[in-house]
Amino acid sequence: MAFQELAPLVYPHLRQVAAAYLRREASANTLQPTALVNELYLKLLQQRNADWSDRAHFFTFAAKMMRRILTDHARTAKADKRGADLPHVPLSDEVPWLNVNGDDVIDVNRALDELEKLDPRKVRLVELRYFLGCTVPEAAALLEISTATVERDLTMVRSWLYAKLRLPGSLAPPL
Amino acid sequence: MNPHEVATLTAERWRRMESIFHAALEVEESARPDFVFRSCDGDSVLQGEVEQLLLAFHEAQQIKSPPAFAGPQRGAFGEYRIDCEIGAGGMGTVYLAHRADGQFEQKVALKVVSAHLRSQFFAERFRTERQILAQLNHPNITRLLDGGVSADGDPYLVMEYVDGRPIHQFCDTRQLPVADRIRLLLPVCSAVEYAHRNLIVHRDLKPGNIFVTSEGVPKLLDFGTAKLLLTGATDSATTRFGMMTPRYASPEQLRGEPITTATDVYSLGVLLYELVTGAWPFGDPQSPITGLERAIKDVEPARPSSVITDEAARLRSESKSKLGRLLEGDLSSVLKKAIDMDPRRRYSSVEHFSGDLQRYLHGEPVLARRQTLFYRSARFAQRNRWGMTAGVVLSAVLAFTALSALQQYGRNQQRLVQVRELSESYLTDVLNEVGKLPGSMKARLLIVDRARRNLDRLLADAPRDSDLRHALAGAYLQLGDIQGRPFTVSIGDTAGALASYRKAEALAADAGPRDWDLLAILVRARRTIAQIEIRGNEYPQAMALLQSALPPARRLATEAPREFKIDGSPAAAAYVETNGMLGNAMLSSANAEYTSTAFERALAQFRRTVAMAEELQAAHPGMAHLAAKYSQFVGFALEGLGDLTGDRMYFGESAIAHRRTVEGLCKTPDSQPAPQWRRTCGEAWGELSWALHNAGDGEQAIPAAGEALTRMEKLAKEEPTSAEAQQDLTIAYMHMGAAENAAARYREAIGHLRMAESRMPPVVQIPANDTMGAAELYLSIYRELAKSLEQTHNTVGAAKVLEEALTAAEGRSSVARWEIADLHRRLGRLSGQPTHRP
Repeated sequence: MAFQELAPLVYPHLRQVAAAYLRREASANTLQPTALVNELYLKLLQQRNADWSDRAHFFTFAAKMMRRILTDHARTAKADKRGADLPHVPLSDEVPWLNVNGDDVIDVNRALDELEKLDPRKVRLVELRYFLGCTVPEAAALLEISTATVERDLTMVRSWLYAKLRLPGSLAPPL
Repeated sequence: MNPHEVATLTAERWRRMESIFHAALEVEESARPDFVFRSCDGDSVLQGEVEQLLLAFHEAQQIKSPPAFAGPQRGAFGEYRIDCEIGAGGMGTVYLAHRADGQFEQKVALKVVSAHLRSQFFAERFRTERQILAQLNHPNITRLLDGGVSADGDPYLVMEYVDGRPIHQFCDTRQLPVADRIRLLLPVCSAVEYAHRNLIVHRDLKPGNIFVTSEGVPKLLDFGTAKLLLTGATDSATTRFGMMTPRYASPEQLRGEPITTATDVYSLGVLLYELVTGAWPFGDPQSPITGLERAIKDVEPARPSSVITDEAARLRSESKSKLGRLLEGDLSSVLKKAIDMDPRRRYSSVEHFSGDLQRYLHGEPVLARRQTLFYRSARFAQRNRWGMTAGVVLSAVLAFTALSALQQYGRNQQRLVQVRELSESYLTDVLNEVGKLPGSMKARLLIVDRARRNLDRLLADAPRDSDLRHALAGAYLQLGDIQGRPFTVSIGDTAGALASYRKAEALAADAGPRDWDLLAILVRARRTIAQIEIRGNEYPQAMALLQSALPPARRLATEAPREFKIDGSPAAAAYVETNGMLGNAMLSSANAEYTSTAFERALAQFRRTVAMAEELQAAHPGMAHLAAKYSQFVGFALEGLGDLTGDRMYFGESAIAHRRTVEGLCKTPDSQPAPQWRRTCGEAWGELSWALHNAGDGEQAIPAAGEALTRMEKLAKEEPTSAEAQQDLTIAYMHMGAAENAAARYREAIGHLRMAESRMPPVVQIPANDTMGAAELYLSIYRELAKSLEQTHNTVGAAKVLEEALTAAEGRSSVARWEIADLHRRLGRLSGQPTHRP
């Protein structure tokens, strides 16, 4: 099933789960989505909606959901004007400059939407690797590409995101 | 340039950017600008973009992780002074400290929640840890010395300081061989056993929590996640969240199921596995994926001899081949038994586990081995197949059938589903989505049929007393809903639905007294079958079935956990509703039978239901509306008696009942936000006015009808396309007219009744199976209109209207025979009168 159909089934649960998780701010270092995805899967299981015959499908889906959740979290925090009080929590070790508790995620989300039209594979990689926390070999297996390709793609897209968010007069937006 | 061209152009640019970017990174830094310039071949925009990317790459690299948080103030912890930080634990930071009052020279470990983690949640955990540690006194468990609250209000614990290293580091640094590593674990086991004897389960055993002193004495730290076994079985969500390291967590912990001492056995098993092999039994520990899979299915642990590396062998002072041999045989069996996914098959206690370890060390036969052979017996292998959670099996069946059927049709689902309420069934949503495609009925029928056959096949195979049969009950219920649940959108296969519901009922019938889920399925199946039977006018069967649904519903209401829900409602509410349904069945039967005994029976049942609702209201405040709702039905039953006997007294009583409903449902006039509530409220006012009009009290009926009219007007305006909302308004006009008749305001009555008439569809358009009740409505409007016309001396008009009514009534299944007879009677009476000019 396509993402759009599954999302309404899963999204409310994920939001609940993520909200609780993010409030904890337990880890002083990087965001660890592992526990979050554990919860997600288990909630789905309890919903009796489980058994995804295609693992790749499930995980790319979960990654998209995670991105959505974190974006929503950032938007809510912004609306509540809580931004200043929250610590800088990097989305991942590889992108320490990207703060989960702030505008960064909102901007990244928008940038990824633009990129989707041009190069969807890179967007999937960002979701799997940084939002979901998959390892490089895992991501490679799920997308059926080599680990070298994964590294290359990530290097490029990280730089692109950094340029978009942090460098003034940034790159021409696609379309 | 059209947009499509722009897109292609940009995609190409992107590719070029990418290839130049990567190529530039290969080039030496000083030569890069030139390389880029040449590669871009005069395209200055492209060059600018690539340069930006390279700059970004460079800058991003410089950024390090954000600095750690500043520690708590020194000098804020009673007589203890902090020396330095020694680690970040599961929920707090640990500092080396010493007593400042000069009395003792002791070095201590001071554990405190750091400022950014300060919260109610952690404070409680701290308290728990303190309580637990205070009880424990064992040489291999860190002793709790003191505790308190800092000047900043943070709780802290003071513990014996263990100068040592985590167990795996200790073993690796000294390159301990396998046997020594096992020996090192024995005191740890003894400590855990001791905790278990004190009814404490640790729940977070991992290498970081087991320190070994330089003398080789292991100590168990960090009881922050421990739990007293007495305080209830299920792990709440908060405690599950508290688990930072799923790596050593047992499958039942991951699922949030009841924790037993076997949980700690599991963790120790994983720990031992790592100590002797240097690897995690289930693959890559960083991956979130294997963690999930462990929770739901039996992930085979890797054979210990297969995961060792040269490095691991070196750290165990052995050659790789020798280590491999060492790890086969009994040790492998012991490990396997310790980390079995099924807690019942693990070592039931740490004592048994360490017993087998000692046997292994002494070269004696281990218990684990014997049991593995037993498992290989065919019977057990079969049971194992159903080891997965039955719910997963079922959704698998349903989802798989759906997916494969969809694939067969080559459908590619692109559209966004706007699902208003989260449905429980994956299959329902698939069907809904398929249903939106043109000509897809066939696909839906196919999917459902396949699913049914797969379920039947499963049922035939399922062992007699297994959980699977119970889970199948739930699945048949779901299937029935899809096939044809009354009052919902379904594929309309009522016969199929009935068969599925009956299967569900049969399977759920042997539910034990505390099988809440199964009892809920039983209640639901019986109720739904009854609903279908009511629709088919099979009243005695429906009533009998509903009667049989009451005992399990009652049990659920009074004994199941408070939060337990049946079909989305709390069990107590479901019990009341089941009683209400029985009343409705009795009322429908009474309407057909048309005897006062039948009505009295329905009345008694509704009165009982209201009383029940009132009684349960005290304990369940959310149920306040139920008493009001069924009070309305008390009114209907009374009206039935009134119609039957002609005795107005019944209508007076009915009015009282309806007034009660209005008061219960419409507390504050326009503050209910949801349209459904306003609708229900409007209906209630309408029924009240109807009862009052029948009781002959026009003066009171009019304001009531007015309330109904106001609400229904609003709703009709808000929902112009809803046939129901429009009909509600028509009914409201009719009620108003009736009220005015009762108050002898005939002119006004005619006005409102004509209004109602004008809103009705033409009589000829009413179908034979008149589900909307249009014929009934016509009858009501025309009866009243005839009355008003008669009273204003327009007999001809009145007769005409009654004839129209007859036309509407005849041949429509929804109209009762006595009503038609009544019309004829009225008509007859009219024609007996001399005609007047209008």
